[in-house]
Amino acid sequence: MKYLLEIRNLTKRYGNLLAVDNLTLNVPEKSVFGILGPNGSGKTTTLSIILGAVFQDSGDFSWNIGDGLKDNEIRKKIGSLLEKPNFLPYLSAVSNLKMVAKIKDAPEDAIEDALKAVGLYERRNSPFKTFSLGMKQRLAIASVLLSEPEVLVLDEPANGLDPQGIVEIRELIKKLSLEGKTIIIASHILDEVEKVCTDVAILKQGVLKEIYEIGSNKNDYSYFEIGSDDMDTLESFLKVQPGIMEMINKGDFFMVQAVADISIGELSKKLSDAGIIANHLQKSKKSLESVFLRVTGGDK
Amino acid sequence: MIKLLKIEWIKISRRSSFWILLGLFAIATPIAVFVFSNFTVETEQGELQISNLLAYETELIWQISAFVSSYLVWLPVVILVSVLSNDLNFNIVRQHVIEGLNRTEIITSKLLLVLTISAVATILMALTAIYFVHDFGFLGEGIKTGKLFAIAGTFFLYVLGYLSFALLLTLFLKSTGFTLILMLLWAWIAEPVIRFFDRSDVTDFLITNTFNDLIHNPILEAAGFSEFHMDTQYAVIGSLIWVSICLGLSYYKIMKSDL
Repeated sequence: MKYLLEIRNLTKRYGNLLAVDNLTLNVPEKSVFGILGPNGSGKTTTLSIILGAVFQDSGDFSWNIGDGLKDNEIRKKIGSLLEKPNFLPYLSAVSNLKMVAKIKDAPEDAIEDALKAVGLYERRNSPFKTFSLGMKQRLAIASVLLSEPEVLVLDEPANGLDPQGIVEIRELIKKLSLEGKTIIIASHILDEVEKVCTDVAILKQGVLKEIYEIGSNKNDYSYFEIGSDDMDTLESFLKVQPGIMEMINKGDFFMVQAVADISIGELSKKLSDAGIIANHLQKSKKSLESVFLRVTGGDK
Repeated sequence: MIKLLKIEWIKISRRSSFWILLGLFAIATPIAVFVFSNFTVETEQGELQISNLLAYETELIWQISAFVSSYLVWLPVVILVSVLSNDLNFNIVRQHVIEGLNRTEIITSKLLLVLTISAVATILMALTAIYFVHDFGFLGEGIKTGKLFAIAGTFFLYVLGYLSFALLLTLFLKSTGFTLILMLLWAWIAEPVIRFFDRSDVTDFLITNTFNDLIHNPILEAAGFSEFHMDTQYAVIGSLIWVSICLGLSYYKIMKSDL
């Protein structure tokens, strides 16, 4: 498999805070690669490092784009939206995009097409400061599209968008993916990541917890929520059950990951045979959410 | 480089405050020279209006234009500081790097901005001088072009010095207000107080005093008060060193900092 981006042992510390901890990650070419994690998990710091805005303390990374291109020449081929739209408030949409076009050596004709693609053409001469949050996000996406990039790096792309805008972004990402572009998306919105990504890296407190391939058999686990009035007995019971991968005490219930596809009926019978009365028994959807909750301990 | 200038031009040319401050500088310079020329000075021959001294004195008119314009240096400083603060506060520098500028291009674009504003201020000073040379009566013979260029060059270095100092402070403080207050406090209070208590050669070379000593009051100088200033060549060397320090530290700040 050819990797477009290879990150090796990346570490970044802000004072006492370890933002990214020895992160090693490979992004396959032409994938839609999600970086998922709760707030403060190091997503934006990681993207800031690979886009040249922040220096890592140790480790390195390499983009496999072009041959012998300098770092900034590589960044010209990447369409990036990092954290929030950064534009000058007194400049119009067109003037702001003119600056981007000049930096990326993109033709100014592309500005009109990009504004039309995100539905901002009618407001092209309005100052950025008059835009709503959603319109600002759309303008940022227009700037991403301006140079027809080979790679897109999108940090929370659905931020501030209304439901219609979120659907449009999702469709845009799918369309660009079908065109063979590699897309890296950082988000804390599980649903969005699951709908568009092919691979997901889950981070927590700067540490890579798991790589999840959406739709892969490798992730074929069952997830249950099991609660009882006697949690100690329940815990003892679950600990000795074969096939239990992991269990997290959520207070009133345990979140349990099992290797095999066990039915509610089977589990209910086993509990009954052991004399345990379950007051909460639910099979979770076999989903990214289950994995995310398991590896992050439920933080969002 | 042209690309970098065009990017800076997009930012600066759409700011109404830029045009207001530039217009203020362009209008205030001739008005200030006119007001100054109507002052009277005591001479051995009695009171003399400065405008009478100016007639046919091309070099003196240029010196006065540079001297009076030097008091308006804060207008170009405000232009630079406000543009830079915007860049930093709205994460535009960070965005430019993400989009594909390298950090050397970032500092180059700021240096070009500083040089361009210094050049525009110098041109406006020179245009004012040329206007008054014609107004007071132009005498073709006896004009030493080299001296006029030296006055313009010294004025350029003076503005460049203040702007380099402003560039450095803005990169660290990231605020128009804080930068201007700190610069004003330093130039108008801190340095004069330091020099009041320690009037040595070392304090002569404090940053704004070095820049200020580039441009002398020609009337006071004619009246024999030039000992208050260091020699111009020392002021030029000192200013070049200060400009190098400010630009060097600015370069270091942009090259080494997280954005």
